[in-house]
Amino acid sequence: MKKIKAIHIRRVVQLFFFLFFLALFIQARDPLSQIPPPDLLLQIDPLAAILTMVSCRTFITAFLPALVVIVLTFVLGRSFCGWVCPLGATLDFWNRLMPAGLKMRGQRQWKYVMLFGTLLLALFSIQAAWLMDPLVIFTRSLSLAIYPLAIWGVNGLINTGFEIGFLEDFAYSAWNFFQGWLLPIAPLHTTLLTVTLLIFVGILLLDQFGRRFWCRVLCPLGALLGLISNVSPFGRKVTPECPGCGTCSDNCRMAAIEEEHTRTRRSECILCMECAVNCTVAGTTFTWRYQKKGQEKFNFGRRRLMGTLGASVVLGAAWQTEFQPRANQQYLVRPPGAVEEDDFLDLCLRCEECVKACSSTGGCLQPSGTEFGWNGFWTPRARMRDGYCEFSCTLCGEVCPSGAIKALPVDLKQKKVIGLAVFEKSRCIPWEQNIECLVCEEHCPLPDKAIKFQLEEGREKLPFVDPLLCTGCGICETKCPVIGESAIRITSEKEQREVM
Amino acid sequence: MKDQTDKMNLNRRQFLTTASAGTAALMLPWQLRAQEEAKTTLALIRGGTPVERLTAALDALGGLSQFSPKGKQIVVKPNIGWDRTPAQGANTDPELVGAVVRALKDAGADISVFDFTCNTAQRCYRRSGIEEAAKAAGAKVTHIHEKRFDEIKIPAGKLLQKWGIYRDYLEADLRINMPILKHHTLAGISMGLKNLMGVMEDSRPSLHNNFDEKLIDITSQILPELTIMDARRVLRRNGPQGGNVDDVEELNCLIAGFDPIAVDGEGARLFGREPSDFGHLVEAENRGLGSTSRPQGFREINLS
Repeated sequence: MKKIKAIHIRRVVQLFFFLFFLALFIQARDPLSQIPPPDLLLQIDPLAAILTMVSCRTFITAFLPALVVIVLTFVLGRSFCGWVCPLGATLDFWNRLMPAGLKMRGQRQWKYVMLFGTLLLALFSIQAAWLMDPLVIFTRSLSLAIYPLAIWGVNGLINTGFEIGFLEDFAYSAWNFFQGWLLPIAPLHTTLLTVTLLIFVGILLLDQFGRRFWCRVLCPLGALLGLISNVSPFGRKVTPECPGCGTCSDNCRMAAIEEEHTRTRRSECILCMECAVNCTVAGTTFTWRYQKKGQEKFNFGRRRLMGTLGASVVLGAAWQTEFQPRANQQYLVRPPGAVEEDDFLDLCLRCEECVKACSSTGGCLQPSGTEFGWNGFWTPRARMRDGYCEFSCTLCGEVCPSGAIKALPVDLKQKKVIGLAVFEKSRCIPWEQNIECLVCEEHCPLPDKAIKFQLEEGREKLPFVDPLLCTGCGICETKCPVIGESAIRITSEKEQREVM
Repeated sequence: MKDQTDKMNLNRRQFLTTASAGTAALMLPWQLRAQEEAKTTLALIRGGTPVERLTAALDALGGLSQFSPKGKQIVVKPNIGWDRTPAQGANTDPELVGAVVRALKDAGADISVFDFTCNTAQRCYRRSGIEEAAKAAGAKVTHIHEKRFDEIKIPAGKLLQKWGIYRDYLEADLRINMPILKHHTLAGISMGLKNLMGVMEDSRPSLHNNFDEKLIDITSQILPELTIMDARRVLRRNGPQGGNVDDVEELNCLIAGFDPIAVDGEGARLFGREPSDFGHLVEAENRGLGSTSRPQGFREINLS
């Protein structure tokens, strides 16, 4: 029997966490189970925690689990990257498919630029975790690109089965089987799919410049954990028997082993255990003894520091001062329980968990593009023509990791005003054509009906909105039988936001 | 002459005897037919529990055995349209659905339960309690898949000549419609015929103008063999989905019958209205699909 080595354990653990976070992602749906919390991956993220708290200047208890990762890093070094991080795992799997050499070993300092850059932006109260945080990128790529494509594939297979006579019953059984836990209300469309996918594929392709390129060169979370792991007592040690064969440093995916093979860059080592397994004399071990030797002195460089500072200021200023047309605000409808807009932009990680969860019920949430400025890019907005806010559903708040959308109890959610329905009478069937149509009123979920009828001699019932009752759930806009744009639309008028 | 008279007298007696015997003999079929008509075709049950009401109704109608359900594919079509709780009176009573499924299951049938919902299907199935009750009783609870609608022709259709109907419903050996009696803004009242919209393709938007004619066009082709109408919790206002329990009145009734139009007619009366108040019932009656007035085989049973 093959002896079980540390690297095997690591691979199993890595695979376990990858599948675990994948399962959590799939679990962010209706009906929701809060144990384990579906947004756990982002709540253990120290980078998102720090950036969010700095940019909104508030302590957020939702991020307390991030302490676990910080403590883990103090004790065991940058092991999170090698054992837990699902993006790192993806890159390791990718390398098995598309083996890359170990070219391009340098440029390690860039990730500190990313870390300090995002921190500076946070000081200017600009949430930038969503740009560079690997766990956010991973979740978002799943939510907006990989999951919709997977659903497209599954639905495609099932629909093909429907076309082939003898497979139909099987296809229907398969569809019924997947309904409710994997398949959302079909078909699933998300906006920004292509751009999200391109970024994800881009990160994978960067790996061709050298293994774990993202983790070595760009990842700000890796930089943060690297800084902490400099003081970790646990790490790689090489016994004096080392013949200096160089196998370890040639194969190190993180380029963490220095030329003389005995010294380790502590901030780079992700404890993948490959060197310990490959060592020709079994002289490489990982021990608890704190080794002063082998610590790369952190050297950011004055020029780089000034460059980062300057770039952040310019980028942040451009971001904040970009012209945002007032007219666009009309259809900026945020999810129920969203905090006030300024705080919302600080808190929202753009992880798209809410979009994923929403697709299993009403399906109104979609990421916004640049229509509300770059500041609002990837933030969730409700597009009621293609989905509506399900009256008794509270999913988006429950899966939001940072509290940008507050989790509301059902009775409060049902009363939460997210907008106001407005008729476009020139397109409404009874108003314009004098033909009976009560679809909006029929679907209005409020017990007292926010859509009322005006009775006029010789005319069909004419619907109008009671602004005191309407909560803007948008089911009227979704179900309106008019082709194209609905004859009743939700605007952000009268919306109520939560206080952070 | 006397002989002749005697003979005639005799003849008359003979004639009368023969005539009365003959009349009696001729009456026999009428008697038999009267007995046949006394067979219950429409039952209104008041009081008791949902299960007791169902048992009473099925007994009155002659039991399920008349359909010889063993081994048959049976569709039970409740109203699961809305993401509402049973107490809100928007969906068919899950207890009743469970009881119907159990009765059919005990008789050896294969039962499937589904509806084309207005809110998200999973939520409606769950919150109505129907998925759980029907599954527990042994039914297959399925979701409507858009590719499983088959187009049927409507030869005598006034406005529609064809429409997509859910295949499972069309192919079933026996269809049991299980509406809930409730208020409805558009139709005025929602009962059996309205509930059949849950087997129609893309039902809501395009049917909602000239609703009565279109509804009857389609339902004329797909009438169920048995209708069991739930009138336990009756939504009086703000139908079809309600939401306020104050709008719900506990009537604790059940109407069951073979003629869907007769069941709906009785439902209208139970609701405190006349069948003629509702366009789609008038339309159905005018087209000869059935009668909304009480048939001879009507029976009212009070359980309490």
